[in-house]
Amino acid sequence: MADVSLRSVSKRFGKVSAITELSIDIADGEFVVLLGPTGAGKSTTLRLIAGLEKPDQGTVFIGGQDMTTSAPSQRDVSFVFQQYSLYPHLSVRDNLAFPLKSPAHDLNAVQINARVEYVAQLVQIDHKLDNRSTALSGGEMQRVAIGRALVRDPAIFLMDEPLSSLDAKLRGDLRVELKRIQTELGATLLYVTHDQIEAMTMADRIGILNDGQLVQLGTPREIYENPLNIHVAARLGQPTINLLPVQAIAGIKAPDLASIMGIRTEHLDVMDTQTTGTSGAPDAIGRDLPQSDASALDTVAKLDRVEFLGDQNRLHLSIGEHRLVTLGDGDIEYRVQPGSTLHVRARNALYFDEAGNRV
Amino acid sequence: MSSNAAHSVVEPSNTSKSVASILVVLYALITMIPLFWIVITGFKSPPDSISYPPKIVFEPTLEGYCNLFTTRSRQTREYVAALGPPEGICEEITRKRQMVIVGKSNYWPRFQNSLIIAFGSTILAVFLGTLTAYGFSRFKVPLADDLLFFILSTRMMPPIAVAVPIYLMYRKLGLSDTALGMILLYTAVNVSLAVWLLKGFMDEIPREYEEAAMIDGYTRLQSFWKVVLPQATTGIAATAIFCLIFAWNEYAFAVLLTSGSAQTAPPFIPTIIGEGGLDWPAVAAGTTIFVVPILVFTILLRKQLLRGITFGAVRK
Repeated sequence: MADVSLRSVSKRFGKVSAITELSIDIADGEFVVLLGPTGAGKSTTLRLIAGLEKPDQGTVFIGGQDMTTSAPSQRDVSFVFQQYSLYPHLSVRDNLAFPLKSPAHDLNAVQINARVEYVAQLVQIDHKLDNRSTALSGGEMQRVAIGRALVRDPAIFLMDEPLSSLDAKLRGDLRVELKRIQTELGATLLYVTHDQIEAMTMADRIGILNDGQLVQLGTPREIYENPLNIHVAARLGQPTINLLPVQAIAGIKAPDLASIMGIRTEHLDVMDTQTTGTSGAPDAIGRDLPQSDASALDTVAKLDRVEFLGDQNRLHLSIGEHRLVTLGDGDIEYRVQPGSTLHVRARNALYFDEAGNRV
Repeated sequence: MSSNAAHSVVEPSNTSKSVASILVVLYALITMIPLFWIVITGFKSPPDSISYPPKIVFEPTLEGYCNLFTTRSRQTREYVAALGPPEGICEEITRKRQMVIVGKSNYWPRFQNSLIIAFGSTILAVFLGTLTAYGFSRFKVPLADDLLFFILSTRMMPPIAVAVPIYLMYRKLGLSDTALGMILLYTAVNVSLAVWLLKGFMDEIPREYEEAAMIDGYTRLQSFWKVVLPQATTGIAATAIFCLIFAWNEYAFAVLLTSGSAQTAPPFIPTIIGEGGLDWPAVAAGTTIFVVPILVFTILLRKQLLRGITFGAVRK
């Protein structure tokens, strides 16, 4: 394992700029997740580190060494592709052994076999070692693909949306498993995804990429609580952060430059104006949070629609012409009907200027 | 399938299936008639082979095969009678016609030429085609589309149009009537087909496999050898059959450029002369034997051939 650094790396494909002046340091043993929409340059970043693409400018350091022009085989990295890419003509065992049989390693059959068996147990595929790699389910294939990366002890593991083609249940299971394996091995790992749950649950640090630029890098909590701009704020949180012009709620004391405010769903209290709770105050039907908050902003909203999700409801509200989505209790539809008027209180809003940067 | 099985709307009914089957079998039988005729003619005696109306029922003889492999000379009745007992069936048949075997014919050397030239050019064309197709499939080749069109355009010319320049060129280079010359010529013609066919197959192999192999510590050439080639075997087999069939059957260039030592079987077979014209049973026997290698090769690789023919139309 080793640390990996990119120094102002840029890469263009024809007229399209995939990566612009990207710099990032990944510490030894760290799990970094790159999060961003399609075309943000996530995969290109991985491929630049792996040596599958050559940067137009900038430097790639692996373990302190300049590897910018080295061939992929010399870089001592391992890669998990989105589409598994198991060698279809080989068995599971041979797939796992393939990296160990390369000219880069000088291992005998006994050593290779021991290593393969160990990794197969780690990714829980040891019962299918002699199957053809094409005769596996999607989840099993991805386990083998991860196993093939783990079988070596590379400088860094690079994973390109490894779980995105799996169904939700399996994705959840493998997510937990992958984090467990990474902790167990103390592996350095750069992981690319567009799934915010994967990013939040696995990452030591998250890097938010947009249009080929690293917008913000920090712990999941830093990114969530202190986003640098609207783009970052909208990447994390479900439902996504509600963005409103500051004028939408009358009487708020916004900073001077603020033109847009972002209110996360947990900062939006929804109360029924018709019914009152036992305390005499309006009955909270959204998240029940402290009522006395100096920064709170009160306004009236109309309930357009309720989406029933089982343990919770998604409330679609409108304040004037602006639409908001927030969460409500699971039994809310017994208390209020779509079309009724609700009392909304927003706290801890995030303010952004016209360019979208945090104020 | 039982009649009460659930039918999808796109599945043809049993009636149309049987009609289609009968039509296909009939068509297959009709196309087999010339082949059938060649095979039976090989077992006819020369008079039977040219009798009118044509004979379907006849007394089979190996005379055609004997004549194919031997040269004979006519002798007097007394000379033949004075000979010792005949050795082998061919001598016996020959003597009945008052002839004796004086040597071997050129059929077997010509057949060997065909084998060497056809397989040699196929191996060369497939080898070059595989590397070229891989290059076009994986690398940014400047003017790739134009180059590919240029490669294909070499096949658009009918052989007769380029025959004279090639003939003159070969005479200057000393390649006329040499196996090497014919191998190079057939390779040149086949390589365009090989490149185009194989490029399609190469494009279908995801490049992630090589990328994975290269990251796993292999060079590009090693990845090509260990990962790409095993997956391209279907395409390579199909391409090899197409190239082999062309080189094996080629007639026009063979007639023009070979006459003696490098002559292949196709221009040789029609020149088998018997008494009073063409020796049809011998010609038919030569043709029958000539079909065998390609038949064996095709049967061995028929799955790949089918995939090669329907390539592009059917996805896995």
